[in-house]
This record gives sequence, C-alpha cells and structure tokens, in this order.
Amino acid sequence: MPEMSLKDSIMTSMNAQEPWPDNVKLFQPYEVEQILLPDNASCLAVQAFLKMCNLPFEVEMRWNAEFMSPSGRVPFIKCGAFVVSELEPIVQFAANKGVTLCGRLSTEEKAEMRAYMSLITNVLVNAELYISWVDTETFNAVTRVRNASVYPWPLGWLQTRSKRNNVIKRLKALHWYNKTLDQVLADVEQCCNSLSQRLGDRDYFFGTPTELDALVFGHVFTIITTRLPCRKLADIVRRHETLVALAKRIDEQYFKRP
Amino acid sequence: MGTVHAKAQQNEGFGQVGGGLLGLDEPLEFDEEPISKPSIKLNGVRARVDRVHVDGLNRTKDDIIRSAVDDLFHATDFEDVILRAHKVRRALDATGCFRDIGVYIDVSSGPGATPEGLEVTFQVKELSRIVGGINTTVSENEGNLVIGVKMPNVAGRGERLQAEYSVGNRSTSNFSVTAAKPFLRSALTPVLSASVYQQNHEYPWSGYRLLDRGLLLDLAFNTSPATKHNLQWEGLVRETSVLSKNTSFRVRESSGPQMKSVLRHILTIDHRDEPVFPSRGTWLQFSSAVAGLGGGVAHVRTELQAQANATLPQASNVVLQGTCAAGVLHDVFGSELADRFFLGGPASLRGFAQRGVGPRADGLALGGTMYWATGLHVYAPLPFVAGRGGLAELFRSHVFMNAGCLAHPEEGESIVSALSEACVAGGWGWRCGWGAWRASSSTTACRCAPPRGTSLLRACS
Repeated sequence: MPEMSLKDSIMTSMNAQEPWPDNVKLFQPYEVEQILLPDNASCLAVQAFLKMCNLPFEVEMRWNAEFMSPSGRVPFIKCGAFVVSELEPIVQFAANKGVTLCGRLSTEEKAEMRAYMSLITNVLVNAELYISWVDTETFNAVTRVRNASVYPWPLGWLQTRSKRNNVIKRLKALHWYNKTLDQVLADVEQCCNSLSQRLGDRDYFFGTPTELDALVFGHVFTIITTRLPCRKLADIVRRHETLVALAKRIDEQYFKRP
Repeated sequence: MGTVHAKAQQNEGFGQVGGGLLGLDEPLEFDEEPISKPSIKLNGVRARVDRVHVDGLNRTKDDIIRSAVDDLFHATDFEDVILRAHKVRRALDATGCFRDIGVYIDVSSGPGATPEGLEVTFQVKELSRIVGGINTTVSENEGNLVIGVKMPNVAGRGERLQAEYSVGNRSTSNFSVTAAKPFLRSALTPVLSASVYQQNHEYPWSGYRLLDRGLLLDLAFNTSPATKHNLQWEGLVRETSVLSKNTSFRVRESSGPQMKSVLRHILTIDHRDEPVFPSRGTWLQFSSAVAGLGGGVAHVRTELQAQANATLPQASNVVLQGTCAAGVLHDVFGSELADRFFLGGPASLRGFAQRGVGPRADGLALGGTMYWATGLHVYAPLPFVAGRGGLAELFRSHVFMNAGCLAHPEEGESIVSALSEACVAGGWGWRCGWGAWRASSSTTACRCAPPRGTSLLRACS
C-alpha cells in the first residue's frame, strides 16, 4: 500500500469541493498484448469501482503506464491536475469529492470490509504474482513474452529480468517465495472459502455494491478468464460458485454494453 | 656523452637545446623568434642524424617509438634537426605514454660516426602504471565527488584504460569505464575507444530525471591539425522518470525505459588560440546523428555551432566574439523530451534562465525540435586589476547581446513563423573559466520575449 504523504492529503482535500470532471482518464497497459494477470486484476477492479460509482472515465492504454504511475503500479487516473494510482487511493480520492459506496455502512462493517480487502491484497495478489513470475511454466510461456512485448530487443529481456527480481524480492520479504505451488493454492483456497462464506447467498458483500465487490470482481474475473498454462488457480476459484456468480453479475451489470 | 668541444660550441651558439627550448607545447615559430647570435645560420650547418637514443623506455614497445623517431633521419641541416626533433617530441607526447620528455643533441662519436653526424637523445619518463585521483566537481545543479583510476599505456602502445566513479550530493551515482587504443603508426592517427557508462541527470527545469546506461564506441581522427572527426555509435537504455508527484502530465507521459541506438558524426574545426577565452580564431562544430538502427527511438538530429573571435585593433586585450548555433530534430518515432533541444541559460542563451526559452507546460521546459541562437559578446579584462596576472586572469568582464528561438512546430504550423518569435537578451556580467570550466554571473540583463514565451518579459537587475 503506498502511503499518502501529508502534502498529497492536503492537496486532495483542497480539491474536494470540485466536482468530478468529465475528462477523467484511466491509464493502463495494453490489454491484448501486454497486461499481466495481477495488473489486469487491479485495473478491472478500479474500472468496476468507478462504474459502480457512476463516475465517467475513459480508458487509455499506454505501453509505459506503469512508469507514468506515481506509485509505479497500474492503473492510475488523471483527474485534472491530479494523478492518483491504485484502488484504495482512488477510493479515497472519490470520497473526497463526495462519492462513496460505503456511506451507509456501520463502522464495524467498514472495518470488516477493509479486512477483506487486505486479505485479497495479501493472498490473491501474491498468488497471482507467484503464478506469473515464479511458476516457471507460466513465466516462460506467458509473462516473459507479454512483459517484453512492448520493448525492442534486448531491452525487453532486461526489463523482464529486473521486474522479476523486484517481484521475487517482494515475495521473499512476505515469505511467499519459498512456498510450493500447492501451498500457494491452499492459501488461495482458504481465502476464497472465507470470501464465499462472508458473501453467503447475498448479491453483494454488504447488500449493495462496495469497493470490496469491485476488488473481488477484478481478481475473480481476471483469474477465471485468463488462459494460463497453470490451470489450477482458475480451477480453485471456479469451484466457489458464489464468487463466480458475483463476478458475472458485476460484469453483466456494469460492463456489458446495452 | 659525446665530444665536449662540439657540445660547448652548440650550447653557446644556439641556446639551450634541451628540455628548456623544446619543452614548449606550442608549435615553435622559428622565423618570428629572435634566435640569439644571428651570425650563425642554423640552416647553413650541414648535419645528419647518425643515431637516436631513447632513454627511459620501460614497457613502451619499440615499434611505435621507431616509427615516431624515423622522421629525424631525413634531416639535412641543423635547423632541420631541431625542427624535426621537436616534431618527434610532440609525437611522443601525443602517445600519452610519457610524463616528461627531454631532448639532447650531440655530435656523434664512436664507430660509424660521420663527420657531420649528430646523435639525438630523448630522455623520457614513462607514466606510472596506474594513476588515481579524487576530485570534486560542481555541475549545473549538483556537486559530485569523482574517484578516478587511469592506467596509461597498458600494453605498451599507448592503450589507455580509465575508470571513473562519481557520487553526487543528490545520491546519484555515475560511472564510466573507457578503453582507448590509438593507432599511432597509421595515417590520420585514429584513436578507437569504447566506453561503458551509467549516468544520472536531473533536470529540475523540465521536471524529469534520466538514468542512462550505455555503450559508446568512438573513432576519432584528424584530417588536419585543426580538423577533428568523431564517428560514434552509441547504444543506450534510458530511463526517464518524473521528479515529483505534481510534475506536468506532458512530462510524465515520456517516462519509462527506452532503448536508443545512435550513429553520430561530429566534425570540429578549431582555429582558436585558446579553448577558454580565445583572443582570435574561429571554431565550428557540426554534429549529425541518426537514431533508429535498432531500439525504440528513431530520429535525425543535426546541430551546428560556430564561434568567431577577434581582438579589437584599438585595444589589444578586448575580444569581440560572435557566436551562432542552430539545430533541427526530425522525429520518426519514439523521440521524447530527452532527445529534444533546449535553449536558455548562461551556456546557450545568456540572460535567460536555464532552459528558459521555448515551449513550456506548467512552468516546465518541454524543449523543441528546432532552434537558432546568435550572440555578440565583448570580453575585456577585469577593470582595476588588469595586467597583474594571477587570479584576475581567470575572469573577464562580459558585455553581451544574444537572441534565439526554440520552437516545436505542430503539424501544419509554419516553421518560419514558429522560428521568428525570437527571445532577445542583452546585459553585462562577468565570466570565469580555467581548464574546461566556465561560470558566469550576469549582473544586469534585459530580456524580451514574444508573448508565447510567458514570464520572460521582464527586465531584471
């Protein structure tokens, strides 16, 4: 999670009075040839959140979206002079403009929502990173090719190598690197179990759509629709039918064009 | 060494023919220099070089020395010997292998000596195998501590290995490793060099930071003593990042890594008497670069810079200097901010802030694809302390008037009208320089710029 500096928070709150402009752009990598599993999940989550809030935006794909982003991670939105990246700061930014999805939630529910969101970032995101960058088969067949696709040789190779090293460093710090694939999948299974338990047979986690639903949608939808050599991750997620149903519901309601 | 009689006579007649006279770095101008005792005509003394000794050779290979001194054997009279000895001395100096070179001329003796025979001895001191240094530099916006190691004459034929590492106060680190090999025996004396480098640059005026990592191959050769050519190929990976969260989006758009492969030709013609504060002569540099043989950036970039200096006939220490520069960048694809031209600042267009001319976004210079600049400068010694030498020699008072324009014509926009919005500045200040270093401070400058170059229209003191 990138921490917001004092200056940024002041600037964001000063900007609060201004309404959401029409020319907001969401920047992300190329969807067809470049984007990777974890990035795609977070881009979809942000898109879903903005659509749930009914905030207009335009998606713009750039090869260097990751480097343009102030936090180094995609996606980010450009709203007037402001550049905000990743889901939570964007949620905060929208809340400052008076747009929020969890306004009617109690404090306990909000805390619960935060907890589930951090469960997802701690388990699903790391699992996606693990599959993409550590699992040799997926790395060689998918990640390497896609990550290098926008660069000329040998820059692509260099970039992939340095990015892989960074991901491995992160996973090592979180004690994920030494896990086996089965251990990772077991973690995912557990995470999905607790999510589907919480969801029960409701339409959304807290009755109405919240950013947690957007985040779950982003990850579940990406995992079940992305073709990877390692099918096990998708299989595990698919077994949780309520989560898959939630993803389909959000997809149909917010992403299908009439 | 040799016969005493002959040596004494020569010493009396021709002055010190040793490190003293021939130790000069400038070309000797014998016709101007009044050689003592004009009763002896040097070119009337027939002479022939029998032998050449080179003392003090350690690891330098014989073949390059032999080819350097070969010229001496063609001398026919004594003046010729001296001139050629000086030429050889300079050739030896140019190899970059020696610290100190002394020349002694003596009559030859021993078996095989001819009546008019001379022996020339070069006493050389080779540079040590490894030379190190620590120094500090202050550049446009950063102070650096530079640690350098140099290994001159590694393999005995003038090969040079050089490594430099520098840490800046903004926690940037740069390094470069250069290997150079001169081809001393071939015509045009080419020098081939290869360097690997990493360089950090910060441009607060444009809001971005560059990290360049690359390889530079350079072939330098001279087609005449004043004409130098550099043929270069440079392959680099350039990482651009913005300096702060609030940097203009126009600058932010160009962040990310890029690979660039450039072929470059630089032609330099230098007829000036000094590189810093010249008093006469012209200088011209023309560089053309083609990027796009591999990599993600393709463009053609040409730049011309010229300078002419003349001393005023009324006052011999007042120098009038005219400068002009122009550049064009034709982008094919992928050219970003870092490839563009920037104008403004003491080194390019004095009287304006660094990169203060041309298109801007949110107060940051965006650069342009074409520019021109001209200037007229008058340099004079500092008042009151003139002629005393010492530290004051490093300073000049400076009156200047310059004009320039940097433009980024959009498609359909007329180039002529874009380039006609000139920024003009005039003023006076002082300038300081030694070695390759220059600094300026302008006390008063008046600038004026067309309305598009916002915030420049003001007179300041």
